Amino acid sequence: MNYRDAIAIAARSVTRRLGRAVLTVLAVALAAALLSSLLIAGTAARSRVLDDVSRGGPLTGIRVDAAAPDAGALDTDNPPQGAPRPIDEAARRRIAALPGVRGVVAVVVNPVLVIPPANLPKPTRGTTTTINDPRLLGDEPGAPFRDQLVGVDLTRLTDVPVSLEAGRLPDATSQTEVAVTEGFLRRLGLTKKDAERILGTELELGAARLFSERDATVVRGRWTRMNIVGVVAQQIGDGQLLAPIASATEARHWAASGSNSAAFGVDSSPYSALFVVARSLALVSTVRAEITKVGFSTSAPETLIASVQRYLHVVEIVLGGIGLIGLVIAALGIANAMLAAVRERRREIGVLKAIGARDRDVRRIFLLEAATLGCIGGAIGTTAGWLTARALAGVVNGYLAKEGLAGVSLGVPTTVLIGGVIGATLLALVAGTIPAQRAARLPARQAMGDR
Amino acid sequence: MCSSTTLRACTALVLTLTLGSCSRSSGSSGAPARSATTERRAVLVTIGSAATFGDGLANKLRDSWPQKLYHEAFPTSTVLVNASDRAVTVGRALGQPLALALEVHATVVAVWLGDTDASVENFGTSLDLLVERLRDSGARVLLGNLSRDRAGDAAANDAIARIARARGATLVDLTTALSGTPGVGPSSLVDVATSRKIAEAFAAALAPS
Repeated sequence: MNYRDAIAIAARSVTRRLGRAVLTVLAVALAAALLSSLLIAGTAARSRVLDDVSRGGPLTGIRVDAAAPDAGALDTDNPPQGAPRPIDEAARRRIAALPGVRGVVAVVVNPVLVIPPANLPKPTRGTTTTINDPRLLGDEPGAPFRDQLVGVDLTRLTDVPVSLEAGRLPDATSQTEVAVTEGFLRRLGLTKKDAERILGTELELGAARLFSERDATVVRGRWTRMNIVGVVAQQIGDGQLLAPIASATEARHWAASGSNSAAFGVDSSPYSALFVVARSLALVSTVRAEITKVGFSTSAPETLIASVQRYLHVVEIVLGGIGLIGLVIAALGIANAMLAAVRERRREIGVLKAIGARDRDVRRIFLLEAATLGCIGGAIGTTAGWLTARALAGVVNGYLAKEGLAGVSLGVPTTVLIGGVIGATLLALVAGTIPAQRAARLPARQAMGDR
Repeated sequence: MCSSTTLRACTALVLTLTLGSCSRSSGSSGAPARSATTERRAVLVTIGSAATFGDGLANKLRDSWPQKLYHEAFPTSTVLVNASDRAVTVGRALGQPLALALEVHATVVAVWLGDTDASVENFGTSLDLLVERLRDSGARVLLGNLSRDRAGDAAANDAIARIARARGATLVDLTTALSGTPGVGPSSLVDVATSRKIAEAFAAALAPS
């Protein structure tokens, strides 16, 4: 008997007992749906939690501050800093050349006084935001306030992934473009819903500089006007304003040239900080140690990420375990259905053997039948599981949006979908082995005589 | 005289400098490096006294005439440095304000001074030196004249007009612009409407004739 004949007999057997086949397929589908939806949800939750942990940069990001490492500091994510130490271009290049470093992004930060857009959009109807910020220099939403202008080398944005809520990031060479954060919107009494409406408005930034004149001290501002071109989801370091590094450097140059700039938090370091990206999560510790040897203080959420990963792994094991229990129940269902089929089809087995079918031919028929049920059930189940996970993600995203948080993106989990079908087929084959073996070993005479 | 709002606005710039959790004090010297890719921007510098500083305005960060001029007559990429001081004389303007204008490579300098100097002769001599230095640096200079309300204003205006002609500066006719608001001079308090008139007069002088 060839495979074509075996498939034809298996298919006929399935269609002849359609009710039982459908129920068996449903059992497999339910188990596969449970397992795949749990795996998809678990994976999405894992990426979401880790993304949140690493807000403002990739998981492998390391912040290097313009300070020497504290010799007495223990290994922590945010160790205390030692004495101030300027980060210059030579230091940046030296760190960029360290093994395990994928990229280095220079950051320049300067305190500024912000005059909000004069034509501030009114908050979206139905939304209320409480402005309770000590940095505001007035009670009304349009009052000037203090903030930090964060200048980043925007040509290296692949190393500092910043997600946009609206608009775009400033052009790397522009002197008049700035992106703001959601925190900036809140300070103006706006919400995330108003992000699109603030685009194109102009704000004014004043970098202050101290001048000593005889017995008096005079503060003078260097004012620049900037168009808001985007709203980013992340807080940018300590600031709410993201600009090309040249804009922040000019402001910093002005402020640092004052008579006592250090007293106001403006130092003379060419770069305020560096954002170093390691080639992998496993290399973060090594790179941090190397940077410490170069002589700079570092911080990275590696301990936090490791703890979160361990926690999420436990959650995945629990979820996977629940799904596997479902699969075992489905396997028992398949085995039960196949054993029942063997019992019902003893005469058919006897006839097959009487006309020359060998044991392996009979075994093949029953295994093909089990595999067919498993494959169909797996395909239906994983698809249903994916759709279920999507529906759940929709509900979760609705809640996250209401809370002003970024949503979860599921994508198409190809591995889970393909693995689900193959896994369900293999499981059905395993579950069908004993019934198939029993059918194959049934003597022809005994099979016929039973009738 | 100043309201609490005015006082709050007066301290705004000082408070700006209390920022900077990311920035730290450093013992080493040297300023941040300038980016090589930065294009040359137009820089407006204003030199004046109390009216230029914005005294009398509740929101001088928005309503002082340098701010209004900056917003209404210059492109977004322009930088503004207000180098004004209360009760400054032309003699004192030759110090730090002039040095500042030269340091930032001012492309336009708007000057409104004259009612606090002891004598017209000294005023004329110092103003001539100020304008000469600014013109030598390549800056376009706008010179505002006085309202003729007080004794000596006419003589000061003659000196301003003469220096403007001699040094290639642009005379800004504030005498006419402020004719409806008597008593307003470089060192007086101003309101929003007066600030607007001053800014409009400077903007009109900037426009090509």
